Amino acid sequence: MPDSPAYGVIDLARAYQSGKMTAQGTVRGLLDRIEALDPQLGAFQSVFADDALSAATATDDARAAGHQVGPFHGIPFALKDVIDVAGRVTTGGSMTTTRESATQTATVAGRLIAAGGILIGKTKTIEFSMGGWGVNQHLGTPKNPWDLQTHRVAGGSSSGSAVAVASGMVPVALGTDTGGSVRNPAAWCGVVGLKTTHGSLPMDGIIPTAYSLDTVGPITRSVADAAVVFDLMNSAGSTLLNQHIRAREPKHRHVEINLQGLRLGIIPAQEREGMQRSVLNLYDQALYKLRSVSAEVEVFEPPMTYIELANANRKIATAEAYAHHGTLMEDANAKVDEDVRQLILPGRAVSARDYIAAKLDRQQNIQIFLEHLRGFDALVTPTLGSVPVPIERVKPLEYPTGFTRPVNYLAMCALTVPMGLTPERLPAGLQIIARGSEEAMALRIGSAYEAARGPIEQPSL
Amino acid sequence: MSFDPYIDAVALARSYQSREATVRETVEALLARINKYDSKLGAFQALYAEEALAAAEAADRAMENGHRVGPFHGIPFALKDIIDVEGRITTGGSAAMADRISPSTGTIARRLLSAGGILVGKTKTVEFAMGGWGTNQRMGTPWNPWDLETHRTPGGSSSGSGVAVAAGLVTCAVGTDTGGSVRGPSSWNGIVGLKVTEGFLPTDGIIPYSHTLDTPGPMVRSVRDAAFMFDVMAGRESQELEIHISDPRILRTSSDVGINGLRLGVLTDHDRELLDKDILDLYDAALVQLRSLGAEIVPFEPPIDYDSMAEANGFVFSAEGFTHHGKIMEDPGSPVDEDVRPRVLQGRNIAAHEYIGAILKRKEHIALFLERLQSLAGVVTPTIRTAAIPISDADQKSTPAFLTRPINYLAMCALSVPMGLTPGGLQIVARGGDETMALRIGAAYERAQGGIGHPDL
Repeated sequence: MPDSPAYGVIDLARAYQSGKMTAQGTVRGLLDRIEALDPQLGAFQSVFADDALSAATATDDARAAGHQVGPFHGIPFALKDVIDVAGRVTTGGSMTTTRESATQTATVAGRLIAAGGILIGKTKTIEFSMGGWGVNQHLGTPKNPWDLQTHRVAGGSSSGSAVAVASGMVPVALGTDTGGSVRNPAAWCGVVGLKTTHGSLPMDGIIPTAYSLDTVGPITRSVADAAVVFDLMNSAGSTLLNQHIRAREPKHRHVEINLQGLRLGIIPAQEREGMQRSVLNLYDQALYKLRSVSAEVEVFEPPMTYIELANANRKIATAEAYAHHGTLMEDANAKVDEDVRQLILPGRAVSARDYIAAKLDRQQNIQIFLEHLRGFDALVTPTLGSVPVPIERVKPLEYPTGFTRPVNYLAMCALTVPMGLTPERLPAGLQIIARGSEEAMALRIGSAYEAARGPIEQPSL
Repeated sequence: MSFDPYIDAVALARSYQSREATVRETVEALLARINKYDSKLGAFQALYAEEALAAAEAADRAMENGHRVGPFHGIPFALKDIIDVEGRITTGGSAAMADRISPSTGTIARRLLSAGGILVGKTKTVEFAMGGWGTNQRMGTPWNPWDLETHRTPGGSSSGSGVAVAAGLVTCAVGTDTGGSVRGPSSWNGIVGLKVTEGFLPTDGIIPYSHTLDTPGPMVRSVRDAAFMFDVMAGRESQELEIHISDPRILRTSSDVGINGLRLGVLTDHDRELLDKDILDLYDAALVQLRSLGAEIVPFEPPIDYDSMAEANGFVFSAEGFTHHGKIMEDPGSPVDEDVRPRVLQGRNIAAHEYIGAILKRKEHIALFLERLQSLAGVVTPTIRTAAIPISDADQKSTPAFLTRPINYLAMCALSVPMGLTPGGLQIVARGGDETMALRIGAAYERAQGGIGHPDL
């Protein structure tokens, strides 16, 4: 097994800066690792080995010639295979999509490339990102790297992105999130995932699932990495990354460690029912850690139950998914994932009135929720209510139990941070929910929690 | 001084300042005219005579004592009766809601009131603003004041606002526009109307037809008034409003720049064939005037034809209109306008995916259209293809809004300016958010055109 590069984005950028590592060496190491591990894990839909190596060589040459474009120059990344890159095929996780290459590069992908990032490959996804478990009948279901014996699902829909990051095949990958598709796999693979606020990042060049709920966000190994990549995706530049490089202690600067004065809402007792005991234990430990960094932790009673909010999200998502993909799903001969077909086809029967009413209700419910939220800076929940399940225990027409979908419905943002391992040595995530556009708040809390939690194990591969 | 009922808001504000006029005499004179003419014209749904007089006196006293809140202080205005004012009835033009008390005052109305405006009354509307002819079976159809013999279409849906301003019953009024409901009645009544870019002005406290497409806008006597009232409705500081009245030449910063060198798109020969002869003559005269002002006139072929865009716009508002008003319209016992009922019910059988598809297609079409516009500063068309017609000739299954609906569909803005008699408006279309350009072109054209006079009441 090639060395596990436990390197994150910031680590790599620092190592490049100090000359300890080269882009070429890094990319070669990752490609070796992919070659060794991915036949088993199945995280990648496609790997661009030659192109990535050429780009890495060019990066090293440019740097040597004093032409480094910025601190992200030479950092390898991967894209969920719903994101277009000109000249490359985007499958959307579907056998059926045209084999023609994309003609344009999605703006968010273009920003990472413009910052000097090196695209290693595209990662597996649920077909059209429709679902939460991470299963894909035709193009393959990535294996959760925390259990090499049993095929456990990785969570979805950005299944491959999370597996690739968790197994050290790439330091960062982009996912998309319509109901939890960044956070679910990040939680179940033991990595960090940021669900950004709808509308804050451009969604062009990304195959839609439900256009009014779809968001794109980074999956990384640390909160600081998520913050850095989010800034790059935002075209906010690499100031943050530069700060981290210059700082003596690259992560967890002390200002972020203390949460004095912040009030965090936690789930009420009735929401704990139906959740796995081992996950709840990790959650309670996380709350203890948050208290230890001076956060005030109190029960938050949502104005609607989380499951009501999740169902409301599903109604909108189903109607929109049918608008995007219904024609294909109606074709009985189309070789689509039959579970995905069953999830999308109910969208046909939704009337415009019901859909529009649901959207109007959503506006109102957002107002009501935000009013209730007054006095709280953020909410913390478990991301999912269980550990990753064996693939045969997946209930394909249901959504994994958890707290992700309300966040999309409420147009908020959220970060999932690993809480550690349960006794069965499987990961679970802590979801930190902040108001729309308050990614900085979620990241700040996440960073403090991550520092208080301390380092966690890596999957042994 | 003798009261001129057709004075525009800018001139009125100036005469308040110079003490040539008082708010009280102005409001009294308007109320007297309403008393005299509105039984025939039927522009008003509700009149607040006593309150308006009391507010007028208070405004005079405040201004005399150095407490003028701004240039809109004391300007009489009316609201289309789908706009809520707390404690007052808002019917939405529906007999089914004849007793509906407004729960709160919408932001637009509040801005006009807090700028010192005097609310004279609420004006008639097509039921739920759903129609372009201006008819209302149950609440009454205002008379187009340009023909007192034949009952002609006032245009809709902001029918009463158009008639009241045109007939000198009120200085200015607010309408709303989902497919042409500000511009249509402005055109047929010979006044100026501004369809504002969607999303720019708040729509809270306005009974919705299509929350995506509904836009409130001013209906006024001059282009400078449109700019003035638009700024009041946008909540601008009174300091910024003062420029409207402080210098007679100043409208907005760019108003006096003229239009020399601007490239304006006009209808192609194919689209011109759809116009009635008298409107075509007015339109051609307008194009001659625009050319004489230095504009370059360029035939413009939209990437999607106007009819298809009008239809696509109708699809979106049908689906949304049914969501808002389907319940009342599905109940056969509801006392609703039977011409409006089938229009609303059209939205019943639309599937969510068709509606979403239309919304997504709309985004593509907007991008395509803007690409095609390229170096054009705007597009000018007649507002409506015909002049006002006898209401008995109005085909209620059709719409006069073929040239106005596309602008809502494209999320652009447009100004209707009178071209001459019989009243017909020139629609000046500008990019979304570029009201200044529409007003600039409109101001130059209005001056060159010279005015169309007033209806002979």
